[in-house]
Amino acid sequence: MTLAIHNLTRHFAGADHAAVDDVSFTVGANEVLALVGASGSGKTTTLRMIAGYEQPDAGRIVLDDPRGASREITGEPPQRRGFGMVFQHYALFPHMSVAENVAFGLEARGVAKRERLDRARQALGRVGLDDAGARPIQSLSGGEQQRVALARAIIIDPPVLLLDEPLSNLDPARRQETREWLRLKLHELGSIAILVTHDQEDAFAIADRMAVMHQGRLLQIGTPDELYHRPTSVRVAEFVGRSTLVGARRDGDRAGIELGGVTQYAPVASTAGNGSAADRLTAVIRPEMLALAAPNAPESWRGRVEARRYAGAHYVYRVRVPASAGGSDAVAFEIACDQGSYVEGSEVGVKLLGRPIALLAS
Amino acid sequence: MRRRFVVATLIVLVLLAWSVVLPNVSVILGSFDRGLEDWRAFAASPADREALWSTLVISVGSVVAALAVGLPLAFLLGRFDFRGRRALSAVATLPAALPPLVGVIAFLFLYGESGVVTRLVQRALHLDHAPWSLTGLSAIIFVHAYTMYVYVFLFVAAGLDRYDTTLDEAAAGLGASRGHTLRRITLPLLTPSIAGAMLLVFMSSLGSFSAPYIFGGGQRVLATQILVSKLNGSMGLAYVETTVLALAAVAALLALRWLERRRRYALSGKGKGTRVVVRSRTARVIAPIVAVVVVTFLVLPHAMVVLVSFARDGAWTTQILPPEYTLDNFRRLASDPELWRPITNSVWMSAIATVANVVVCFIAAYLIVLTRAPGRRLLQLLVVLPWAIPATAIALGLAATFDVNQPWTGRVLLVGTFWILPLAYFVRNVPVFTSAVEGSLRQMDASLEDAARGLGASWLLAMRRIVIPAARPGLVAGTMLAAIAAVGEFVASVVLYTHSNRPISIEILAQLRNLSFGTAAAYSVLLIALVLAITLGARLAEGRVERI
Repeated sequence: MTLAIHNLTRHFAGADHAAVDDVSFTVGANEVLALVGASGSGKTTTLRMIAGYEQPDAGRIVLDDPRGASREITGEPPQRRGFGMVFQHYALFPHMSVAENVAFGLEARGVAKRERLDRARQALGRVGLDDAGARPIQSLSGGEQQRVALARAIIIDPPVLLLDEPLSNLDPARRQETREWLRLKLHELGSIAILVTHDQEDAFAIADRMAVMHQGRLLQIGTPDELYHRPTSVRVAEFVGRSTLVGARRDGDRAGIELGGVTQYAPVASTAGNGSAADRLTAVIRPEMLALAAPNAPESWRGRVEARRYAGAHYVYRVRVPASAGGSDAVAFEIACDQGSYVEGSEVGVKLLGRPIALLAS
Repeated sequence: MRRRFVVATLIVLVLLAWSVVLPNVSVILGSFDRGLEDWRAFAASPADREALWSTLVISVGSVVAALAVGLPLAFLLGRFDFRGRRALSAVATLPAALPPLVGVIAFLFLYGESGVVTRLVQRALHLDHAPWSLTGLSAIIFVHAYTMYVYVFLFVAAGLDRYDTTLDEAAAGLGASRGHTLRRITLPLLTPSIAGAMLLVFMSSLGSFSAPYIFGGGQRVLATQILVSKLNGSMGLAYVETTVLALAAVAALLALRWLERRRRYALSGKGKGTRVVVRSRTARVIAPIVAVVVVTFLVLPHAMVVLVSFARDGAWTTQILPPEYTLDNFRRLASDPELWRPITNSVWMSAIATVANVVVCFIAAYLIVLTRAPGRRLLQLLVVLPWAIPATAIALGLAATFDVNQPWTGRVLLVGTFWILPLAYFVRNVPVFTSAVEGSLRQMDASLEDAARGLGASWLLAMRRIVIPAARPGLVAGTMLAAIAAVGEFVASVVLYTHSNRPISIEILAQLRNLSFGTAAAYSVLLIALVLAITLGARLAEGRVERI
């Protein structure tokens, strides 16, 4: 089973750019795709078009069966698609019990009451709420509501499961464990799963692949690792993980970065854009690609510690490195380091560790 | 401080006991004045049995008809976007702006035996007789549907505003058809709104007097039977009829309140404007046409009253439209002191009643919401009581209580004086006024008053600077609603008026009886103008509130 989105476009009246602009991607069975981006990037509209709540102005949505049957669902109303959806605020029916909520999809399909309540109990069991069937919706905690919403969505055996910000209503402690639980459940189901989130940590923890959206466009799609180490645009580099962008040259299969008269080199992980202007590129430097050293260490940039933040297993330093000797331009790096011995205001050396670096066309 | 509240509660309680409870007790006691004889007479009277039956039929029929019109309209305007939507929503509440008697008259002009629409249809179809007669149960229900669907429309529109549409989306996503979603999700969740509107329609129909009275066509209902019995001098029977009517109203109130409570869920919608743009081609053609037809139907009664107000009295006989137009009707109203009298009467009496409402209802609402004064639960009960009792019953209670001078029992002679009508208007408007002010005060954080007093403000300063400003939207709305209801009041007036304090509505009826349609319509236009002026005044006052 594959879900293919072809050139999906949606323009809302009065908006200055399309909410979703020529977006295409494919998701396979047993794959979890996360649509990520800031609010207004078009990720929710994309999800709603896949669910059938919005109609695209252009483009096609096609569901491919493993036996080769291909079904275009672009114009189908949601009730015919048979997809499961978990809404951001769960949209549980407040006038029904937990079991009635979960059984609703079967009720709509005309399944007899006894059988549907039976299957609702099973579905509740699958999300770890075995005895909650008779409870009123109002008595559930946020985490429980989320599980009921998931049970309600999966009871109809949906070929595609859609989740809109599934974790945004949970407190941070619950969020952590729910991420892992959700990842397990989604893979257990084996259906196509698409989730929308503005939180990259959620996407990292749950999704197999991520699609980064900005102003209605799909910027890049790939595994979290790909997006982190080989971003193809500044926006993706900035959105996924922490990074510092700094001018670089390409020198064979090495990238050279010159700051304050000192050039350091590292292997190139990828080069995006036209690689012709080899001397005007941007390097994406991640905190773990740098190390702190003594102020006068050879082959290091000289900088000053601006801030130091404790982050559990390590410290994160913000170090300001002047771009040229005596100039006022400077680059502020984030650097992860095990030691907390560098104090704010002190002079330090900054060394490039030689890990592969992504280059972008400026 | 505590003592002040206790004294205030006591005063308001005594006042309400005197004006609300005493009359009803008088009626109930009066019905047993001759033992059970009047009750037996009631039970034996075929006319009364018919009246009770048709009152119930009218009330249930009006509820069904109002739902049939109001529900689809609320959904259409709340859920869909189409050409003509704005025009339609602008006039959707127009029928409510028509004073009760005026609406009935407008329908007479339009759909009565010699009405404009009736004659148009008759002529178009070359019929010898009018194609229908505006009499009997169906005519009354027709008029009720026109004036009362607005309650359903407003209640359901408000419910839809708060409705979380993702619930419907979730149901659709789970495979439910539109009908299934509507039946299992949307309507059950809107039950409180719908039940509230049904209650309002049922209560209004139960006590409705104008429509049965004007073109009941011999159709007896309890409200009119009460007046007939009173005019015949059978006061005992009138008391029994009144008691039965009040009991029916209270029973309906309890039943629908129960329904409303049983299904109360917090609708936590964000109220974003998720109107679906109508896309199907047929719907895009049909929607504006339907909108035009409905708008015309809604505006027609108003337009008709205005048109007839310029018609020369006596000239309009067999023509479709009045043949001659003149300003004489209005000129006569202004120049003839006898004709001008009802207008000053209505304005004065409604002004007096409304001022009394402002004072008493504000104090009552303040005591109920912001204090823990003992007796405030009783107070709460007393302020809603007049709402549960049909206006005819209230009027008869006042007539039964204030017809003798026995100051030691609280009974003073008011019947036959100017003051009986302002008192009736005051009592009728206590519930709506108090609940408007209560609503505003409940939105105020109770600790605000404490904070002000903690900062050293005197009780009076806290009242003036904190409480009254907070109550102001409710005071403005309550004043508006009370003044509008009082200035066009008919049902209680017809039981209690005398020649010297006759209000506009009674004069309209007299002119109608006289077949002076033009004059009756001119009064109606004036009444509509008064209602508009009050509404406009309230809007201006509200604007000032918002700027503060």
